[in-house]
Amino acid sequence: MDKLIDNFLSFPSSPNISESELHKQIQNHLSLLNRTPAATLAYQHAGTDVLTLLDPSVNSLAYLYVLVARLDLGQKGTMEVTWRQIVTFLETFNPKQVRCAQDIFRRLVDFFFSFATESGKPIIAVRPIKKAILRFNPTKFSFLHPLFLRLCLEAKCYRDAAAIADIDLVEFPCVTTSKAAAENSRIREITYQDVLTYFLYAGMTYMGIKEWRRAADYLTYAIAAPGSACSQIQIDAYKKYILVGLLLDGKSLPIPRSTTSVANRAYKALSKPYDSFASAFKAGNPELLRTEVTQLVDVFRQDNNTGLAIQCLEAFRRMQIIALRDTYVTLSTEEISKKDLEVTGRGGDMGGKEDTEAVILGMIEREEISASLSHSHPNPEQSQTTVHFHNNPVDESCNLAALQVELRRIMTLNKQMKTINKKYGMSREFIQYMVKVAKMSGSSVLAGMAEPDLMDFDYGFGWAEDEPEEAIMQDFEDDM
Amino acid sequence: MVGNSSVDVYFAQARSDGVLVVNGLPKFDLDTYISGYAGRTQIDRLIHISTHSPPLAIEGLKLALKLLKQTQDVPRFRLAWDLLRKLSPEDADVAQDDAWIEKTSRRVASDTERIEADLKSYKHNLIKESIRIGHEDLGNHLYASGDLVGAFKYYSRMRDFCTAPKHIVDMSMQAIKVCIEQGNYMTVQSHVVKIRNLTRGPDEEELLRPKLCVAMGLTQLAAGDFRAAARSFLDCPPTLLNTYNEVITANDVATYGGLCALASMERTQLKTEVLDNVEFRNFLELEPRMRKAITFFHTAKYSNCLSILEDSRNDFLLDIHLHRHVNRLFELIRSKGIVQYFIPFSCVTLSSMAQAFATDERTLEKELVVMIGKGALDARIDTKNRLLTAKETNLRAAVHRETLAVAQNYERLARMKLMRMNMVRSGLEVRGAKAPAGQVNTGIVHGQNSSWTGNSQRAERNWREFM
Amino acid sequence: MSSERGVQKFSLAYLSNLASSDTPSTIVETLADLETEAALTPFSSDSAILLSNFYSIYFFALFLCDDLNEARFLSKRIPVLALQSDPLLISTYTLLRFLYTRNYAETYTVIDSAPWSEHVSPLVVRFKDYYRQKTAVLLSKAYSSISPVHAAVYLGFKGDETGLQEYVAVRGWLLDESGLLKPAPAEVEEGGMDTDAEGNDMRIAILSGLITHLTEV
Repeated sequence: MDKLIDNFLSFPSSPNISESELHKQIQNHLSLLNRTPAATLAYQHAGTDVLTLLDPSVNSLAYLYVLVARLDLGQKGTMEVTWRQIVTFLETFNPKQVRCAQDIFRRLVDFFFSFATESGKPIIAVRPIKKAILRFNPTKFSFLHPLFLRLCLEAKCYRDAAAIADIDLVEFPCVTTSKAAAENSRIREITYQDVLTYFLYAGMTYMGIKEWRRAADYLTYAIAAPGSACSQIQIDAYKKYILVGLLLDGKSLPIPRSTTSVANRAYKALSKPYDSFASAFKAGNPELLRTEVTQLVDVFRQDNNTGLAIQCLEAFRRMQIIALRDTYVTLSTEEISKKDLEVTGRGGDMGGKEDTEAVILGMIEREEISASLSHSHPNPEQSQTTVHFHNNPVDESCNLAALQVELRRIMTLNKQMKTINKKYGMSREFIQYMVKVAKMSGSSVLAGMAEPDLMDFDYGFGWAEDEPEEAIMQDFEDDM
Repeated sequence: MVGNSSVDVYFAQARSDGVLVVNGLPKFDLDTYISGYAGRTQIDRLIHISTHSPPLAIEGLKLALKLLKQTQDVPRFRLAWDLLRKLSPEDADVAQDDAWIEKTSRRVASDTERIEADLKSYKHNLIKESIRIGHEDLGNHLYASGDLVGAFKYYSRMRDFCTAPKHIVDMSMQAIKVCIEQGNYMTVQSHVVKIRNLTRGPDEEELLRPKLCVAMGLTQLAAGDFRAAARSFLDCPPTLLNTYNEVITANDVATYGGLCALASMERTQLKTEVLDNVEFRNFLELEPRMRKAITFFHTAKYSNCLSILEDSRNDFLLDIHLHRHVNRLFELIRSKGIVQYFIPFSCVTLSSMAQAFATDERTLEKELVVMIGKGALDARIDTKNRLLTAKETNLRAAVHRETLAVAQNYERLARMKLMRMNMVRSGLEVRGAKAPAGQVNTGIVHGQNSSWTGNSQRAERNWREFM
Repeated sequence: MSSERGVQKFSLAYLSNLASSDTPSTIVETLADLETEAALTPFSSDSAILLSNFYSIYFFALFLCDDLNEARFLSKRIPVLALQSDPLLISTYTLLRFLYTRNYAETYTVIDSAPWSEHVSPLVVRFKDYYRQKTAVLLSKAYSSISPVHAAVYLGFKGDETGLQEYVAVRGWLLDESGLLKPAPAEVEEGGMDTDAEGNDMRIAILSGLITHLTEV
């Protein structure tokens, strides 16, 4: 037994060995760990806990195996004892080692996840798993991604969720294409459902913190996902996408052009109530919107979109006030409240002139509108508040700052794309994939199901007629 | 006659049925007005006036009945008489003439029989020209007897027996007349186009061109395309005179053309294309009030222009072709006036503007809001200082915004493409339930808790609103 | 080991020290890590003081970060019973609701009159200053003229006319002859950017050029 512990401690042989040497050692170490029975790994030795002898950041693999062995064999209540050690492990493990034992690692995380959610305290897993994601390459999708956002949504930890969703994904792990390989492999692979769920959750994360633009972007990824079928997750995403569009821009956003035709048809068929809600919203007629809402209450409830829909109703008045800018230079808050734009039906002094003034003040603070207010009299009883809509919506330096930010983002993106292309440009999997696609389009049975524009990369949305689309595609074309 | 209770009852009902009722008197004298026309349009116009104008209703119907007695149109006679009976039973008693109805009906029936027999024999002899004339005779006869559908049918059948372009022109002109009366403008248009595509001699041309212009103009007016209608009427040669008064008079051309032009043309265009139009001037001279209105609009005296038009509103409303478009035309003329008025200003007080358009500030403000909302007026209202101010476009800021939007859009699009590419590359396409790939068997070791994937609903249940 | 360190950190003394010294974002990060401990500690008469102070400090740090959204979500992570029974948490939660609904008058009332604990107090004081200053900046942006009565409500000087006069005078606001306050534009921090139009022209031209280049090449 002591020998085993010695073995654990002797790996890795030294902190600064070459990559290839490390890899060799990892393989040897893993074969040792895989050979050792769980019972041997799990139990206490000579009165001391093995885990106290191991350093999770150095002896990560051994630490991981011991933990999982204990959980596998453990009775009820093992988790209560081990969870602190799991937290320590997740916060400190060596990613190079753990990457080679993904399946075991996933089991550990699954144990931990179930423990946290089943005990009704999902919050305890949030931070450790966030740190684990950051220890790997967070721009590469892993099973941790959807699991983490799910945890955050359940625990209501939007700040942490957004910290991860803020990192744009640029890579996905490859799914083994041959069936035999999949069956032999002990690794549970990522599925498209994992990816779509992640996009949906990320969208929901940003909805929670009211960052509609980012929310719409993530939902777009789900909506325009490639494939030959349409998933329920995509339909859920599309319904939310319509409402988010209203909150972002006052109108429903277009379906991205690259959306597969099968998904496109499904959206159109299944989101009719949402479309009529959106057109009532856009029409700017409060009465029409109120009628529409009373008819759609059940639809929204069934789809779990009541919260979003309520926010749309709140946003309606703000959008209409913004629209007044096009017609008026000045207008009193009294006149605005007479327009009866309050559609949430909350009653009270909502929609009155004081409330209108407060709403506009909030809009000015959030920079939704460029306007100023003025009182006409020091005595509030006699005072009229006038709204002055400014002509220059945004301060120049704001535009300048935003441009600089955008430039930086585009440079990062270009760099990321170059790296990706170098990495996968002529990789085996990609060529295999291309061969597969070629075969698929040749088969008469599948021809109808295959996405028509799979090879036609001229997709996108929102561009003017002269689309500078070639820009990105050139890089991709080099691959082919 | 005014104050007659049956008349009141009839028009109260009409009004509640949504029929337009014009209470005021028009400027024209009914007898003079109607004597400008010939043929069936006289009756149509009289009936239109009688069903829309309480003060003129009975006089109009009596006149119509008088004219109808000179025709063989029994159905029309009955219709006008029924109407008169509702409005004024005592007048109806006087006008009742069963003997005429009896006699005329019989004559029409026997004539129809005779002409049909003639046509049959022509057909038997296979002489094209006779068959054509036979059809035309029958068409004319049915037209005169008030069967427009039948008339149109036989006119249309002439087509197969036409041997010269002249025949086609004749046939089409007949069809146009019937279709205008029926309000079937699609067919009018196709026949006008048909005739225009034929070659014809200069004499014929001189006679036809005015008629075709107004037929086209009426079609465009009916479709609400005032700009095109204005052009058609303005193009009409003054040789029209009273050659087509079974459809339209020269006065009508001036009125229709003038209104359409006012509603659709800029001030300078009104000068060059209407007032300075040598040919159209001939028409305008017949309607000096219209000419004055256009002149006022051109010289930016909008309230004078509008008040002239307002004075003639009843005349327009009682016109069989104009009545449906009057409100829309007036609205357009008015809002165009407002736009033209505002062009030289960067800022103008609402009070002076209200004065210029003979209205009060409240109404004007409402009007302006609608116009700005439609994008017809590029200005904003300063309700505090009671001003209308021109929109300033800040080009510089607009360019910056544009650049930013393009850049952000670029990034967004690129990210999406990258995402799709990578998903395809990794074999993560969405598949149907039947395709098992991607649904990797999880085996015993991994099967313990796999419930968290693909289930968006559970997490969402917790997604509620705050407070 | 960090989670054991966590246990040590999860004490009143540590929290109190943290609240009075660190920047709000650091406080938030630290407390987020400690939230696991808090979540696993059941609310009892023994733990009530520690937990209520922990969450209250957490809330105020988020207020100071202008992250009302997260504060809202935090309130949902706390057991409802605690939120409704502990006096300190009741006050904090009430404050959150007033902040969220932009009820300026009540916001200041709660800040001034609620029974804050000694550990939270330093943050409350910080927040009041911060909130007042933030509101003053907003008012100077949003109002070209404002009645002193309203200004007093917005800035928390209700019934304290001299306090208001002094506060706004420092900021260069003037009282005009009609008795209305004219807010002066707040000094915007420029983040080291050129403010003159010509400088901006240059920068924007360069940036636009770069972006055009990137999007077209």
